[in-house]
Amino acid sequence: MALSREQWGSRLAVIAAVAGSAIGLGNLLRFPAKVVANGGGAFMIPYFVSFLLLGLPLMWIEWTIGRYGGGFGHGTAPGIFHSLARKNRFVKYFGVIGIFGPLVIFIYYTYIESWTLAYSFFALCGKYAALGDHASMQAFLRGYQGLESNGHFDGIGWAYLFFVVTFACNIGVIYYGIRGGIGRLCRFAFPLLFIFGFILVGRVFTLGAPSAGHPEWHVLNGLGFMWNPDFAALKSAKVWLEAAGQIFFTLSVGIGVILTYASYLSKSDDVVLSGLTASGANELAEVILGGSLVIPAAFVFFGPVEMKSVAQSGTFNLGFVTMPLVLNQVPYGALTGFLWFMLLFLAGITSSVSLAQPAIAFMEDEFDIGRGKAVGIFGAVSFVLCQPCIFLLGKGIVDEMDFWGGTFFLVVFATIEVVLFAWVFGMEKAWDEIHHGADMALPRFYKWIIKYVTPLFLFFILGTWVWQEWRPIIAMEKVTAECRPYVFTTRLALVGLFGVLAVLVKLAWRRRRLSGKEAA
Amino acid sequence: MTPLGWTMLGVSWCLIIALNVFCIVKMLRANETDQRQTAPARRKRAQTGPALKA
Repeated sequence: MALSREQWGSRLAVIAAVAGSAIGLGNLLRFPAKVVANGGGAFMIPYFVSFLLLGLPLMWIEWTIGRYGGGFGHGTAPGIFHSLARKNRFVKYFGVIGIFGPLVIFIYYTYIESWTLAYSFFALCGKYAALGDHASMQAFLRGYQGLESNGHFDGIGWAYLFFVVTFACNIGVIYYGIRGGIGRLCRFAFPLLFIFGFILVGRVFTLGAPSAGHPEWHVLNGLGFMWNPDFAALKSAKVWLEAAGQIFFTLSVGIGVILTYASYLSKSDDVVLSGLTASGANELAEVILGGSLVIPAAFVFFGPVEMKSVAQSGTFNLGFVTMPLVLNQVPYGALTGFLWFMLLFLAGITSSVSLAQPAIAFMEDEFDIGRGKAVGIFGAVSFVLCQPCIFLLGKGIVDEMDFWGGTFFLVVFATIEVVLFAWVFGMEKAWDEIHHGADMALPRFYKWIIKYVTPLFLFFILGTWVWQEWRPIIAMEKVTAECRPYVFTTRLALVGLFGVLAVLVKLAWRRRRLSGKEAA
Repeated sequence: MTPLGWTMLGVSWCLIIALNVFCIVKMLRANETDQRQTAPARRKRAQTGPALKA
């Protein structure tokens, strides 16, 4: 290690950073839609079971192996996996997923994040204040995205401007490092996110029944629309898989970000209580804020019949079409709209900076490149890679990247992590490592859960996905003929990117061998 | 909102609030212990972690 590694300024900073990375658009938009579609309040039973058997064990594993690898000067999955299984020369190549996934997500996520910044600005300016139905708000969004030229926008200029501002904010934060940049941002953004969230929840709960002639469209019935349980749904395997998937994505496990953040801990730092606290904060944002905002607010203006199609219209429609319409109708709509989109922006930026960190840590740790230069290289490469997502939106590129980088490889990576940790590194050693410097002991049954239940759960999810989705995805059966060339090119580009990262890992280890840091 | 709906909402909220309160209390206690302990005792705890039952 030519360069000394940074450390977090305080325990609160790392917890805020991990929780901030986990809290994103999924907490506020994806979760309520999933609850409505999967048995209402009954969904919380498989949700909490998955939290205990899948989410928490993976959280503790990532914190522990991150801290362990950081002790050897590695901040990314290739080096961390190599530290766990030194005898195996190939294990480090599995770790490529831990750089590939975050980089791919960062490429499209930053653009989506920039929409939230733009909409918070539009809310304050009243640019969409006159729009009163789904069709016109949908046209506003499509015009902004450059998908059509209409009375609202005549090009992609505004979207590109806000993208550049958002991208620059991300690069600026990352440039100042773990302690001065990411740590400082999260310490400021994390409490602000909860303050904005609770103000909005207070506003929603005091809406009453604002639609004249529809006293039954009351906010309490809106909560009932979401929380009234349908226990028959629990007989469906799909509901259990959806709950496991939601827990997986909401906690940001399997991406490779948490282990990079944890690599900046010192050997004596606690991981058990810190991991539990970060998970608890994420659940607070998801179940209490996410479960109280979008659905009840939309219900009081659209009623139960229209709500069914609204809830099924997807995350982006809920966030960028339904919510602006709802907020247009409440008193002080400009301010409330600003708070809503700023809440989404804060949730977005604390996630996107975390997605950039693995690639930068890889350059710093394995090639001894200084922070400034590493951030410069990352900024230049990722800026170029973002362009197709902006100019070819609607051609299936973002969906393709989201499937491989943000869905499939997450489960693969988590499966590799848990097998390496519990079975290759060894459960006894793993158990001691988890408790190194810990402020509390885990219940002993978690030893059994981490060794058997979590891997089996993951193999089951992976197996089911492959069984149900393999053929349609590989054959691009759900892709339109117009989008197929774009999707196919994206797929080739992703294979190329993965290959380049694998070659870089090989070069890094050759460099380590030549410099005597690694045995041949 | 049916009584069962209230129950599911109430139980979910209570579990999550309890988890967060538990974490905050544990952290405050850990900080207090850290401040009270002497430097060698802190180092020892950092090396061994909590007393694990065999």
